[in-house]
This record gives sequence, structure tokens and C-alpha cells, in this order.
Amino acid sequence: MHRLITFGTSLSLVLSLAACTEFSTMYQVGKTKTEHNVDQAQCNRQAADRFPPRIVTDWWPIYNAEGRVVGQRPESYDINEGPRYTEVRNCMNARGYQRVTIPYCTDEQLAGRSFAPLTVAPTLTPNICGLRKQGGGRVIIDLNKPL
Amino acid sequence: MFRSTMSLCLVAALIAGCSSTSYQSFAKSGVSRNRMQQDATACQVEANRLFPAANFTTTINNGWGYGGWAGYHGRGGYWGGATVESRDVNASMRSEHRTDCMRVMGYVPVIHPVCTDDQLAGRNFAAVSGAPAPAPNLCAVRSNNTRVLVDLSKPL
Repeated sequence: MHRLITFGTSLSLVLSLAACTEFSTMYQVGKTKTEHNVDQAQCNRQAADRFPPRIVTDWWPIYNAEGRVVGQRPESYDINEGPRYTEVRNCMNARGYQRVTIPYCTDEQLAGRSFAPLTVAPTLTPNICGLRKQGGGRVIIDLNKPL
Repeated sequence: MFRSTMSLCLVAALIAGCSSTSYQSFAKSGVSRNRMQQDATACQVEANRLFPAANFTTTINNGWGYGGWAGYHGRGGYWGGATVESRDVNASMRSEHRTDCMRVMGYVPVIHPVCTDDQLAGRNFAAVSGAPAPAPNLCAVRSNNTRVLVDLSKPL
């Protein structure tokens, strides 16, 4: 068990570090941010309607140090949670989106220069990278087109 | 569990709303308050149409106990459990679109402070008619379940 927890912690750390250098998103060349958001919102709604919450509660035993059952605790989950996300992915795929991974721009790449956020999703090349916005969200820039 | 979580969220939101010290609005010179509200309503309707509510649940694991999911209660152990939370995953996009829509109409999103009791000092003030940018003499009061901007330099 201890090894499993250690492995899980290490895996989480690796995933966290990976999350710092790139991000994953549904992407379609030529779409504006608004068009992308509208498609995402419509797919979210379709999935929510098709797979509404179905909450199930299981009761699990609680053991004491001697392995004797001393009580039970509830554990609730939504059995439609997974199918709902699958529906969103399928809906976006049907609208022409594919999941892609885009790297975040490094300080070395930016080199103190300023870039205008791209308003239309470009073809992904090595000079395309993402920037985090203050207050949340992110934008995509083209390193070959500084201001 | 799901219902009680939602109830707690609602209570927290109401408390936060009641104790808010700021009022989010839009500024644009030369427009009346009514015009601004009409434009805001139009943008809200468009945002609601394009970004309808979509409630997604997330299962929160509160911790793993000894022996996997079964849990362990005793010295050195802990018990966890899982709960389900729900949120509207389109809410932030809807809000963003409403603001973008107002920007297209020439408005700038602004935040006005809510008037304090000390500022009002029991007096009444005329409502500001336009959609002004924040200024030291402007603050918001609640009137008929809505926020109204008043000019502290113009008591009635």
C-alpha cells in the first residue's frame, strides 16, 4: 500500500510538472475563440441533457485496528459523470475539433518581446505557443509575429 | 449529500451577495441608465442563448483509508468518503460573452463601491442617470432589489 501511495504521489508530481509546460484543448484550425466557446457550450449542454446527474450512494464498512467493523460511511458518486464527458468529446469531434497539446511559451522564447493574441486558431507549428492571462484563461500567440 | 452540498453552496452565495462591497456595471459616456440596462439585457439574452446552463457533477474523494476504499478507523488511520458537487460549466463563458458583447457596444466594464452607512448618513441622494466611470463621489445603493448609483455630492 505504501509503495502504491508513493507511486501515486510521484505520478501526480510528474503530471503537475507536465501541466506547467503545456496544456491540452479541443482545437480546430480557423475557429475564433467565440466560435470555439459556443461549440463547447452547446456540447456541454447537450451532454448535460443526455446524461443528467444520477447520484448513487454506497455504504462502506469502517474497521478498527483489530479489523473489526465499527461502523459505515457513505460514498456518493454520479454514475453519469464519465458518459457525460465522453458525450462532450464526441460532440466536439463531430463538430470538427480534435484534442491537441500546445506548449506554453518560455521566457527564452518571449525574450522580453510583446505579442498580440491570435484571434483565429492557427495551424499548429513550433512557433505557436500559449500564454497565461492574468486573472485566468490563456491566449495563443505566434512567436514569429512580435508587436 | 448532493442536496445538502447544493444547499450549503446556495447559502454561501447568498451570504456573499448580501455582504458584497462592490457593484459591477458598465460605463459609456453619453448614454442613459435605461439605455445601458437595455443593452445589458440584450447581451444577457444573447449570452443565455449561446451559453445555456449545463450542470456537470464532480465526485470529490475526501481521502483514502487503509485497505483501499473500505477505510480504516483507529490510531494512525483516517477515513475518507466521496461527495458529489455540481456546477454550471458554461457559467464563466456566459459571463465572458456578456462582457465581450457590451464591449462591442462601446461599454467598459467597471466596478463601483457600495455606499457605506457613514457615507449615506441617513440622507437620500438622487440616482445617477447615465452610465458613468467610477468617481470618488459615486457609489451604489440597493433600491427595489436592484443596485442604483448615487452621487454623494448631490443630496436631495
